[in-house]
Amino acid sequence: MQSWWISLVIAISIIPLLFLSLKSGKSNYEAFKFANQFQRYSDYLKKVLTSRDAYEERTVFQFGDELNKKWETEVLKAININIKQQLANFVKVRASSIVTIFIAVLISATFLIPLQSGSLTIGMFMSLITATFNFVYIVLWELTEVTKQIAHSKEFLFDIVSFFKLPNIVGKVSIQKVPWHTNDISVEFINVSFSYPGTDIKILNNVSFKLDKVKHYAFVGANGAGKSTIIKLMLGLFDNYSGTILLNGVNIKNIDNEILNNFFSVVFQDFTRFELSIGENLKLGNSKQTTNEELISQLENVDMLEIVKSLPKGLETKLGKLYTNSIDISGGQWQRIAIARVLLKDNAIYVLDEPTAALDPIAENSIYELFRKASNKKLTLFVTHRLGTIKLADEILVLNDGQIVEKGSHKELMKQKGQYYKMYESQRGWYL
Amino acid sequence: MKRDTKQNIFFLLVKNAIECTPILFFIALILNIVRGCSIGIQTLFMQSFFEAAEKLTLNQQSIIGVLQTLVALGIAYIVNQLINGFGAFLPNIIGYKLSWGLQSKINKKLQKIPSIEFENNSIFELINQTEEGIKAAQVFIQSTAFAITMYLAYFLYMTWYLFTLNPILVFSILIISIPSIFTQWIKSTLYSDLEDDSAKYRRHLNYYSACVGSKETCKETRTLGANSFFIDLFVSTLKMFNKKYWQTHRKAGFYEALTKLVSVIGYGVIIFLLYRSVVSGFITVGAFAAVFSSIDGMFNRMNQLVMTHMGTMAVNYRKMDSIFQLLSMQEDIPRCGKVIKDKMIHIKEVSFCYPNASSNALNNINALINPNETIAIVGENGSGKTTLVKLLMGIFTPVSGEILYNEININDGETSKPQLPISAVFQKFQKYEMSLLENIAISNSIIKPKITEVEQCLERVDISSNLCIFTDGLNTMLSKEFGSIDLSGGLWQRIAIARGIYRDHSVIVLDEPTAAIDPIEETKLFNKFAEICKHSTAIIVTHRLGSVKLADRIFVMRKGEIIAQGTHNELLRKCTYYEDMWNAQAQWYV
Repeated sequence: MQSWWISLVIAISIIPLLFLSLKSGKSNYEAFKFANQFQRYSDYLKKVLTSRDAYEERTVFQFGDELNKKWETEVLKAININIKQQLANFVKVRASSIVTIFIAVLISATFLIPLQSGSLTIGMFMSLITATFNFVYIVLWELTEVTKQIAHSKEFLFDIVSFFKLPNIVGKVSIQKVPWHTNDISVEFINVSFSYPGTDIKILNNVSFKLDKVKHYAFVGANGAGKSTIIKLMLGLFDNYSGTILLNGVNIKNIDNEILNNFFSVVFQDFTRFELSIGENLKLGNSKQTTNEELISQLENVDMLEIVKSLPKGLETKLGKLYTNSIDISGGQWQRIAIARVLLKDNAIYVLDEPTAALDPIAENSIYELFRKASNKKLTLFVTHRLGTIKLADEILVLNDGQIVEKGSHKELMKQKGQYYKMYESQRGWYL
Repeated sequence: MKRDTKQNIFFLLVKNAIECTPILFFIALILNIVRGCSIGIQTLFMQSFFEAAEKLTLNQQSIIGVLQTLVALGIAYIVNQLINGFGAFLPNIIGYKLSWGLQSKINKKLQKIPSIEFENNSIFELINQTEEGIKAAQVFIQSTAFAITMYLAYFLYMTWYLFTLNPILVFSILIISIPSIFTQWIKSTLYSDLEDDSAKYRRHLNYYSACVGSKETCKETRTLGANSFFIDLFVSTLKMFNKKYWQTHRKAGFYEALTKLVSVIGYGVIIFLLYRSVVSGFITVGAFAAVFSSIDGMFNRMNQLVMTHMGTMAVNYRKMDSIFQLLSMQEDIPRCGKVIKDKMIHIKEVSFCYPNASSNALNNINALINPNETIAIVGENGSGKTTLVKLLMGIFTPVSGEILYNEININDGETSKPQLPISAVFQKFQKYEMSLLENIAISNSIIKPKITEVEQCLERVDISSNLCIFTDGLNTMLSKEFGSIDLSGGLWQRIAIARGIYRDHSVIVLDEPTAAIDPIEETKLFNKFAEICKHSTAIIVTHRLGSVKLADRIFVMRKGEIIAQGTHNELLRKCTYYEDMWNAQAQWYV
């Protein structure tokens, strides 16, 4: 007896089931994405509730229980989306599986007539029935599950693919070499304007200036005036600005990143505490070979040598909290490590963005003294709020609302009695 | 940290799941028992259909009668499908609710353990482990616990069914299940060792990828050109982790393969037993066919039960341990007792030592702070300034000595410690990714946010919620990731100050409150502080010596001790260390 048509019928009956599974896998993913918004925010709240950073405020303000309630509602939102989605899928898939069982029963019934007439033996009959129902089990349970998984995972793969499709740093169209001699270096901004993506507010508005020779420059201005942005643009961290930035006359858009980085040594205001060993911290990003003697002399420069020597593992001591034997150091000490790293790199341009914010006055002075010595033959840029210390800068640029409003030496600016004068006097008042 | 590992995790987990959703839990339990039986019952219906078909060939049965048994079989399958679906669906809900409930418990617990624990690395490893633990608990409930219930019900039913057919058939099931259970036992010990290591590796991996990819660090890592350094670290750590992982899995796989071999022999034994039963007439041909067709299913299900589900259970079991370890940690006595209103603070012979530190951070500190006095604490980095104020705020408890608020020891109390009238602006203040309103009102979250008071606090730090960057006024979300805007450091600092003054207080601690603010703003804020300090006792920790002029008295700290106290002029005369610090800063302005 020929029964090829049976497999055809079963195969056709699977099609809607497969289709449904694929669809529900996809909509599962969409629900997941929707729920993920709430999940991400609740993860943030969880971080506030459980992290080390926030424990001081948690203890003093005692907001833990209240915030936890908020966390609970956010997570519930995500859970409910998922549950609804699964319920909808459940109804669809089960309904169609009933149809498939129905077909299996019909097929089985058709075997009864040849069985009765004797053209089908009982053994053959039993094995056909068993095969049909086993097949139904595989289709209903395993196939739908696997198909759903595939559809679900496929959507995640799209995310990975679109991540990899993110544009790399805009191709350096024509990489140029930067001409450079020790004493001849310049950074020039020509009509540079910048807004953060998605905003209209001009952080920098048509800024032009030239920093050259191995002089010391200082940027001052109110919070949000654009000081830090100038530095970020100079370092090539953002390239969606208008205007031109030149390093030794070469557009930085045409300079290879690695080469650009090797011109600058930066201490950021919000410097990172790399939880590595002291030695690794100092050598980080340094392409040159460094000897331990050099490391030690830099540590001595920033007044950290005594502390490092007192540690049983010395330069190998891991800092922070990451490893079981890590040692955490104070904010001021972290900052000295960051400064020592920069001094070690010894690049042509020093950029110091509020480098001493966390230091005590004596340490602050010694660090300034140190920078003065080290940057003697460097083009140096200071960003600071402590006006007293930048008196010695060769040129001070005052920023306001994204524009440079005053420019000159301390003496000149004090004579002008403009914004710089006002700032300086307000700070001086505290020390009279 | 005390770790109690003697608890029965399974029991605790089920107890928690029942607490979260009692009704659903029992419905799911019953449904899964029924589900297990309904799979077994299919075999019974299959048997009666085959028997009827056999009779049809012998003309002892009409075709209608056979059709009836077929329809019954179809209905059994449909019912099974529905129960199956629900039985698998309900545990998902329970799993979500359970992970929600457990995390909430952990969140609450972390508010209760002594703050000093957060100075310890091991708490973070434990917190990290609980994250995995909760995922494990969710998987455990969703696909393991109820699946095991179902399979147990199924095998109980099948044992009974086979027993009624021929008692000898029951034996073979037992014989094939024992080796599987034995392997699982070995696997569970293997995986629990693995889990101990992998928590550490995961933390390191997360950190390295954050160095390259997180918003806070990527700019510095890029500028340093250190990306490849971290990627190398990541890869080498991952390789170590994978090696360990692979070793464990290889061992486990070896034992699994051995077991499967034994199971195959069992398969043969069953077929032989079935054959003997049908030949000797113990069972009908229909029963033979029905059982024979379900042997495969039985083997699969036994494998699923022991290998997949009990295996997952073994892997996850140890992970879940961390949850209950954390939940059983010693709690601090809650600060919910009598509210102290007075502002006089007496520090009496206080010493303090961080856990695992070799020397004291504070050494025998004695001082008195009078009501409404403004105290400035100055000193070099690491001199103990911040530690001292943390003790004053009751964040840490002194190792010896007492801190008295109006002669009440703030750390006394058997069931509750007194509540302190204290607020603070911290050096490392939080930038909450919440609305402007929430950012301020979070410091007093027990009551509903009072809009007018929030507005007043903002005004006091010279922010107006009408400022053009706050597009939604007080409801503007201060987060790039979850909403609209990111603020500059200075604005954040002012928000932190507003947050500090919003909280009801008669004592306020200002820890380096103006580090990120420009000079004109700073002067304005210092003047604000003078105003704030008028109505309460204030303690300012600062490096900017100019601001000490706000203070009535100054404590000079060095190496964990207060080496001098007095007014600015007194200290200039009697403390050379203070004089040096002052001159270091003041010289720039002469």
